[in-house]
Amino acid sequence: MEFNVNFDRSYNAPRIVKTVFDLKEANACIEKGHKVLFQPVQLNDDLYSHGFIFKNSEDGLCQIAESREYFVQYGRTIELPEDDWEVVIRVKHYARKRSLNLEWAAYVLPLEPKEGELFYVEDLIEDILVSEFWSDKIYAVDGIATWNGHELELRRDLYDSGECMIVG
Amino acid sequence: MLTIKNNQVIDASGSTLKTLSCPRRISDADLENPRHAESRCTHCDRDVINTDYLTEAQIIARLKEDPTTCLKINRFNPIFRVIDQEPEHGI
Repeated sequence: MEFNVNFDRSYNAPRIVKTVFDLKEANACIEKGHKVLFQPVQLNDDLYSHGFIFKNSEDGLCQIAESREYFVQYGRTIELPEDDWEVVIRVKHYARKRSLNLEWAAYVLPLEPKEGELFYVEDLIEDILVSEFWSDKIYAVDGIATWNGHELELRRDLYDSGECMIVG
Repeated sequence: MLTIKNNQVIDASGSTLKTLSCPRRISDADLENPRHAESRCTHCDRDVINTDYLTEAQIIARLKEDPTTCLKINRFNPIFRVIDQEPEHGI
């Protein structure tokens, strides 16, 4: 599930940092005078969900589950006892599929960025886990960052799990 | 579906079931057992009900019984539709 950063862009709207995934596109931006910041795409272990494929001994049908006993939403515990369910293989799932197909990406800054200027990063390269909802991983897709003259410093406090919950 | 608007939990008929009035910005770190169905809040020593574990009907019944029940609501829970208030300025 995708998490969009909670930020009001209608007030002092920050300029937008674009993300490119193609070298020609990156070079075209460099030719126009933009700063282009290349980054490797690195998978984040926190975005993996782990489980097993279990095979039913009676009908041979299979299902994926995180363990032999797991809780499903709305108060039900499912059990897959060893006598009835055989483990076939371990499986894992990565929440942000896009990252599986990329080696690198690059941020393109607007022209003449000022040191200390705040930007809206519309497509985050880094994979950041924000929260979870049952087995679903909730990951960030955008962000707010400050240009320090050398790199973009992300406002990581905006990815606190508390951003996904309301208590009261 | 339950709607959360202006800190009010509203049912499908438009009736307000509860006002979310916690003065603190509580996160999982403030709850003794944040992943459990109920957890004690370390600030006010009240039980907080984790709505991830409840059906819509169970939440409504609980709030009708006691509208002061403290709830933990995940914004990604499909039972809820959260209509955000705009932040006043910036972040």
